[in-house]
Amino acid sequence: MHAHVQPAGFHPHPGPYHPPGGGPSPHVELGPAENAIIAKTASRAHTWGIVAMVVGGLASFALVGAFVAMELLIAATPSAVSANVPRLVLGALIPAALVHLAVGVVYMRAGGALQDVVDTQGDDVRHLMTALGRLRLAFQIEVGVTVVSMILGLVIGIASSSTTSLEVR
Amino acid sequence: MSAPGPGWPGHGGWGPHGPPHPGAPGYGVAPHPGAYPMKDAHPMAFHGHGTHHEFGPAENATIGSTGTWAKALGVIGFVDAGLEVLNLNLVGAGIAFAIALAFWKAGSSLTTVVATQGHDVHHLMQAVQQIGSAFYTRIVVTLLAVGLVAIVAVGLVVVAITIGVNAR
Repeated sequence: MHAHVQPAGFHPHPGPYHPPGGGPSPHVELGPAENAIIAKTASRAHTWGIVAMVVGGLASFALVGAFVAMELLIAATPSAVSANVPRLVLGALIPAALVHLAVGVVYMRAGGALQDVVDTQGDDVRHLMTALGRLRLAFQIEVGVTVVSMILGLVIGIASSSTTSLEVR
Repeated sequence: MSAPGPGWPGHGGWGPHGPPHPGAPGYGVAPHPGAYPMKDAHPMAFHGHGTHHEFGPAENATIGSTGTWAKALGVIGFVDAGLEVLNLNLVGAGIAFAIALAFWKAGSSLTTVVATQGHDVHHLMQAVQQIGSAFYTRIVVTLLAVGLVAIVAVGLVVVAITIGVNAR
């Protein structure tokens, strides 16, 4: 076994020893091609986050306004037509719009973590995992909200058809 | 390329520089000091050799779960596309299908990272690219939709004002 002679300027990493098969991966620096892909997706994730926030915020504002206007209209001009279905529709859409706003924030942060992969050196894997974790959270929220919206839409559709059939009688 | 060996922590192969030489204790088997550029003198740096990197169990867990949820989002999108077809909204169905397909492909690439060995970074980059495509489609469609709504709203306001003015 030959002596391990360290050349000038060679500095072993002071980090802890990672046993084979366990622990986090060693430092990895991605190449220019990978950085280009990550940078593009980071930009798009950030942009989508902003768009989702703006649209979610505007939609929430508009829906709350529509809900208030509807309630005022019903109070001012009571009619034989049930207002429960419009209330249900608006009541279901407002939380969905607010969640859209929240998901936008998560996507923005995911884009930030992806951009960190490109902008920094030495922690590419950590930043990638952070970004993937935030994307996972955003996906979970979207899946949950969409499933709930679909179920609510089904319920509202059934309620609406029941109300219409009762009025026809 | 030489056959994979025990390597150092988290690595499944020797890479193009061949097997490393014995080094200081505490780092497993350290590479030859001249094997890597001195820009980042970490003994485990992989400048430009990321395609041979194998992620560890903790990273695989994150990647795998993100892949599963991306696929779930894809499935939801396919269902949404089907509902749009039933509503005879073929344009909406096409857009929903394209976004859903991008998320499904991204999820598949991410789960492939966990299931395979040897091309982790390649599959991960495929997934990142697909996610970027999905975001791009969403951005374009949403901005177009918002633009259309704005145009219709402005048009309605103009019509209402015109009617109001004519009524006087």
